[in-house]
Amino acid sequence: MRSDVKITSIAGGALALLLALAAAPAAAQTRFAWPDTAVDVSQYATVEQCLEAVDRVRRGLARREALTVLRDTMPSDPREALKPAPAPVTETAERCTTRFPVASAKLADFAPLLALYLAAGRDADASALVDRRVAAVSAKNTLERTAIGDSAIHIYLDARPVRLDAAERVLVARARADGADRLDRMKIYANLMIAARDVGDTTRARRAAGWLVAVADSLTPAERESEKFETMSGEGGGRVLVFVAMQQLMGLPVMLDSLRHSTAALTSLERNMWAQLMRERPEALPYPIGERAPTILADYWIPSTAGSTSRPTPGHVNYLIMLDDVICVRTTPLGDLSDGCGGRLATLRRLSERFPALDITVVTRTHGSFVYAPPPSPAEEVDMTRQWLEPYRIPRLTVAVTATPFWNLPRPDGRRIDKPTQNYTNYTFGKSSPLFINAYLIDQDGTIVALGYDESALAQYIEVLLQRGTGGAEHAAK
Amino acid sequence: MTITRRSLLKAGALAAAAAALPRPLLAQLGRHPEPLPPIEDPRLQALASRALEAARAAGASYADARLTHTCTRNFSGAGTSDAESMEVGVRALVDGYWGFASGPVWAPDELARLGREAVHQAKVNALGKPRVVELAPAPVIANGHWEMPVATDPFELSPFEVQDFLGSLSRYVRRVPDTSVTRNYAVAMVQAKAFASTEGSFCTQRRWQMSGELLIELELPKEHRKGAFAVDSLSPAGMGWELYAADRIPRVREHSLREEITRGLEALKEDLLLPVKPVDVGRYDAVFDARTVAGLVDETLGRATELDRALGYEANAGGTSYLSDPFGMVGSYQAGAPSLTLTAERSEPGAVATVKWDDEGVAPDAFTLVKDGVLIDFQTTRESAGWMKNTYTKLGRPVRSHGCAGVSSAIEAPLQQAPNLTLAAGREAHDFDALVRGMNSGIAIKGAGIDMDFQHASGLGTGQVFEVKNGKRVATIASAGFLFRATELWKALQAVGGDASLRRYGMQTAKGEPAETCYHSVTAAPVMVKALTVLDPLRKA
Amino acid sequence: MRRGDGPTRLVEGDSERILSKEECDAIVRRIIGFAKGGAETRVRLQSWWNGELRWARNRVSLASDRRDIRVEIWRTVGVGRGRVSTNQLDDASLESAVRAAERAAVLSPEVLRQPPGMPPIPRAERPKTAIWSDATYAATPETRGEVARALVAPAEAQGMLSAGYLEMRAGSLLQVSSERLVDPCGPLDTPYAKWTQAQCSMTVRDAEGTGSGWAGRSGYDWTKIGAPALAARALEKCEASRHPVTLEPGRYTVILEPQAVADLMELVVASMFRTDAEFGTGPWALVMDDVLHLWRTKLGLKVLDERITISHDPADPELGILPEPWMQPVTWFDKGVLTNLAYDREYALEKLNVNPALRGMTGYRMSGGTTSIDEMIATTTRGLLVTRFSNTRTLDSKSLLATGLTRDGLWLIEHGKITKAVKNFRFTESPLFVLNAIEQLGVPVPVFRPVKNPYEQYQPLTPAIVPPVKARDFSFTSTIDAI
Repeated sequence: MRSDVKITSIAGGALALLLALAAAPAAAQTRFAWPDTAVDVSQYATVEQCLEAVDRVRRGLARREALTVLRDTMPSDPREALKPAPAPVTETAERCTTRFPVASAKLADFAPLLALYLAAGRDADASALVDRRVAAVSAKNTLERTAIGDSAIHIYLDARPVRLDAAERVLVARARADGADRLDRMKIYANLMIAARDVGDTTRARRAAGWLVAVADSLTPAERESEKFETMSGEGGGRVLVFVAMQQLMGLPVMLDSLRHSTAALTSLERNMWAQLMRERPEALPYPIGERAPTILADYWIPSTAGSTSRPTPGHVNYLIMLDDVICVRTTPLGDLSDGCGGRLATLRRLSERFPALDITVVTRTHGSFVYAPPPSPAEEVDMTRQWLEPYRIPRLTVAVTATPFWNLPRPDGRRIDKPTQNYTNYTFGKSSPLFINAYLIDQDGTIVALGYDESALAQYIEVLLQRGTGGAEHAAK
Repeated sequence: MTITRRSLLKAGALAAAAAALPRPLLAQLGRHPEPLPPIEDPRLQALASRALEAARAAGASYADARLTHTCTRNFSGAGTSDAESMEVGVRALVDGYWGFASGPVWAPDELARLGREAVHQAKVNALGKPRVVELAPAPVIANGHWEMPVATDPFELSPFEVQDFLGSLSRYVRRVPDTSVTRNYAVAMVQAKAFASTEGSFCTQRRWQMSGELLIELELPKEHRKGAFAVDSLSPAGMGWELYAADRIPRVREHSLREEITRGLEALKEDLLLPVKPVDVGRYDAVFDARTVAGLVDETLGRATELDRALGYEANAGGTSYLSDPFGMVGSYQAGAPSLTLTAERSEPGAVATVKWDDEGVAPDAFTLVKDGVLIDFQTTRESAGWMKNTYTKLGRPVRSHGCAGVSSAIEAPLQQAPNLTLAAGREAHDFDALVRGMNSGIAIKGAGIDMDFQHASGLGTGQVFEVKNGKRVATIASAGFLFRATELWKALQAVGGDASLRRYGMQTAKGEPAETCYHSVTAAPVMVKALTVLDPLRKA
Repeated sequence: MRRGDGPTRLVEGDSERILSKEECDAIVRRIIGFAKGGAETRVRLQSWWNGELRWARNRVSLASDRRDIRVEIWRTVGVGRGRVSTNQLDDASLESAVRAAERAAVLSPEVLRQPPGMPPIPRAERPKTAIWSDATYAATPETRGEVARALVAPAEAQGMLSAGYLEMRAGSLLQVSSERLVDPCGPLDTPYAKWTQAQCSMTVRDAEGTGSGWAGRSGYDWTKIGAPALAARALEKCEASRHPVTLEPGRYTVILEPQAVADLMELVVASMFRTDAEFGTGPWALVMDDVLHLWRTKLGLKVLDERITISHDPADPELGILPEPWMQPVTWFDKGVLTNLAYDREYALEKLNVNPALRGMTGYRMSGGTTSIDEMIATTTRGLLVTRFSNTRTLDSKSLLATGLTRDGLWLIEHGKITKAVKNFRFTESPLFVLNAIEQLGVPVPVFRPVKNPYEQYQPLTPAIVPPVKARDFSFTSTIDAI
């Protein structure tokens, strides 16, 4: 009878295989001979091989963790990126770097080697490498020096743990260089600001935000209308970055204070700050803060009784999330609650558990398909959606589903072309090119107070709103 | 006692009971199935002889058996995929007719069955008109064993290490902006094979084959140009992992793989920056790079000198040969200019047709197909060397097979397959750039693919075509191709690159019905030819 | 889990040359039984047998009986999936293959697993198709030997050299997943199917090499091949093609025999996918729609002559095909209008809200007319009669402009009569152009289109029924000497 490895769980099996060191005798003609999987990375002759090995170890650990650790009960840790890398990752990198001492390292290897030093925790070497690299370029060649600086900053920010100090040092030095393109500088400041914000380093985030805003202020009209400005961030370009910077400069406590007073006060605060920074009308604030949240229309509700009260529920704090994404439903793997769609659902659950008075509504629409099931009718699709959401155990979740209006290209092509739903149209607030963040926090008077998925920020907003109760509208002072 | 499959498997199940780690393959060498021994084990000779005995007993005048155990491993970013198979095939000759039987089971009774079946197949056709087969003599191999020397057995490497290496190549490419890697994988194969014949030969061989693909794209956004190149040195080779890892492989690449990537990207960038011109139909002096010449050599003389093809044995499949009268042409046909010499062998280390014995148990020799422009020989097996008996005798040459019998696994019957071919280098130390520099005006062609007709007499080539003026490549000619007739082309040879410019490429060919694929290497240098016909291949009449 | 029982396939005798359904089921269950660590095990199990006979120079050069198996195993472990293949069926082999697949799973990229609460995989209907012929399977080496002798005799009697190939083959295929053992027709599964194929082709050349004729036919039923007629035609063509003259390249009216039409159609067959067109590549992309942000295709547009309808019905007994799940009758071109392009199930559900995928074009039936080739010749003032094309290659994927060669018989027609045999040409032409320049069409007949690789992933049998076509302005761009 087979003995040996007892595999009692998926995790165990995967672990066993990950750690298995089955050496097959070299000369024997064994079936599917599996060689010793242990790799001596100190023999690797190139930096890229080292980086591949480090990545592989990191991925393997993440996969193992995904099988053994369920993250949905744990709030997302904002300081995740500051945590030291797992020991095996650092060890792998360290073993590899022994072949690449900084004094004799080839400068052509600069970018990958910097990443490797950081993975190994050799920050002093990393710094020395940057200095060597910059010194190899004549001081007059500011363009190349700036490019090196940018490259280094990206690598510092991509490293785990993230190296904010080092990135900032390089950035400050770079800022002094003449001739640096203003839009490039703005982008770099934004990267640092966001990296700092994401780990909760508010002091640094505010500092970077200040620089960003200063540069944005100095842009010429041509630069502001350029394609580079438009495409500077994923959606909404440079204006989004200024908005984020603005929030950093204000700081969450200031905003919450304002909110405590009234929603209208917060709205004025943000709109006026925007006007000051961007020299536009206050109403040009790119996000619908201070707008009334339109009532959600739906053809179907989950649970089916939920349609009797309107959403957002008047008199309650509401969190509304427009989850339109078909991809979300199809590809969320089991257990992957750390990121993306799954992460958002986990956020909903934690918020709902923490704040029993919070009303959560997911707004979605039908697609005429549901993963690999035969094409469902809208009612069937709604039922499948309900079944899919059940295991995420979000208490008191309400889902509003619109049967998407659509048309088909004429036969024989027949491709389905979806039309925007009424909810979507309503939530553009009349703007022609709306910036869609898809998640809205709404106060008890039905006014939009904040946007996004930042769980800890949302929690603080919700607390303030719940303490405050209603009282936004009557103190309105536009 | 009849050993049925059922009893074989019952015993196998018990044998497998002990542990969960991969167990050896099973073969039934005696009464019970047991772990597959190394191919050199004498019990495999006993096993093979069961087929030969059965064939003899059934009436074969000659029979041979091949056993192959093949392992293949595919490495890529999508993981590692393994394939392993065991096969056995038996060929029998009865009254000049061949029969063949093959299958996946290594067991004494099965070998005997195959021996009988092969004879059965032959006998059924021996009822027809007489046919004569005179196998050229071949020395008996008493008990030969050979293992291809490789520096690193890819099957002993940790797949993690291989994946790290392949991934590092993609990372290295991405050092250059606006690049992408669209294909990056490696394939390793090791095959252990045993051969036995009723003439008393028995030999075993273990050979490796390594190949890969690395396809890199480069964009020049400011110039709106885009191009791609495939790393040449990863074509099939009789090597281990050193195909990827070695810092230098003579005649394949003079530097490391990373260096080849860097040079390839530089060359591609240079080419993409050239202005583009439309084609001007006409005849031009042309310089071909080594890759193109390898293809030209292989598709013209390489195929045309297959003796079975020349005599009509592939007429219903790939076609025939423009060397249509082998017996008359040997020694007199002017196949090309006096600077053309083409040799063949199966012994070059690292070449992919390299073996110690071919699949008929013949030790291949080095031989010359074309000497100083004159056709002097053909590629032969034992049977086809027999057809050349009178010709060889007249020329005072030994009547022997050149060892070209080949098959990729024992499930197929051996055919005459191409050996490694080498175009002799020119005396001067020219390379591609030197040949271009020596040209006042004309064209230069890199990486052309060749389409031949079914006699391998004429063809169409398409690839990168450049205009040359005063020794420099000055423009890319868009949508250009060239037409040629084999003999005319080789007679128009003006210059052949020097020894240092020789490059070796692994080629895959398919032949026979049903199609059987095999690999061989072609080593060639860049050449210059006169008066090449250049046209727009997309232009209709 | 029963262990120890192997397949009942016997090694002696040739009565069981391919795996039966019961044997396949048993093997699959054993493999799945060896899996450790849960999650999915997928198995694709194929077996094949070939009975072959090849001849050249009027004598059989090799007769063979060959058979082999391929077992492919995928194991999902954790979030990885590994794949191995083997050709041995004993317990030890299969078990170690399963172990190897599990080890390989560690190296693979992540495979997404579906969250709980997902709908069940629907049962797939599969049509009844004709794909098996007892006559083909039962044909013996003796039969093949007799047939070959009879095919060679007439050519030899005329002093010609005949070369050819005769083959009967059979195979079985089963693909199943452990997570769907209860419902073996899940979207990725193929129920057990067995198939046969027969082919016969020959080339007759004269001893001086001045002429060459060819004929061939393939299909799943040996009794429909009609070998003697093929031999007669090949010999006739050889005799008529001797001592060809050189003709000027240019544009000619051509009468393409069905085989030649099928040779050109191969280029079209490979292009029939929605994904290419919707990326803006291939012949069926139309224009980028900037409003809807998608590529419009030529679906619904007339792209060929209205006399051309190309379709495939899986139940058609003349177009044998493996019964894949959700197979349905499909019309690719309906009276010249492009009516369908293939897509996978994900596309079908998302973009079209329909259930089944539409498999790529494989076998097909092309509509024709009633004009015989003789009538076509009689009504041609000046043109060329083409037996078949060889060495074809697409030059431009948008127009399907291709190059290739005529082979085994090319004749000049003048004033309604064949006057001379002509040297082979290289052509530069697009099948789409040809099918838009049709003058006359004949009766569709089955052609030679055998499967080459027994392990081909899709239907191993890809017959086609194609008419002879007379078309204008076919572009021949150079003469070749090859015969």
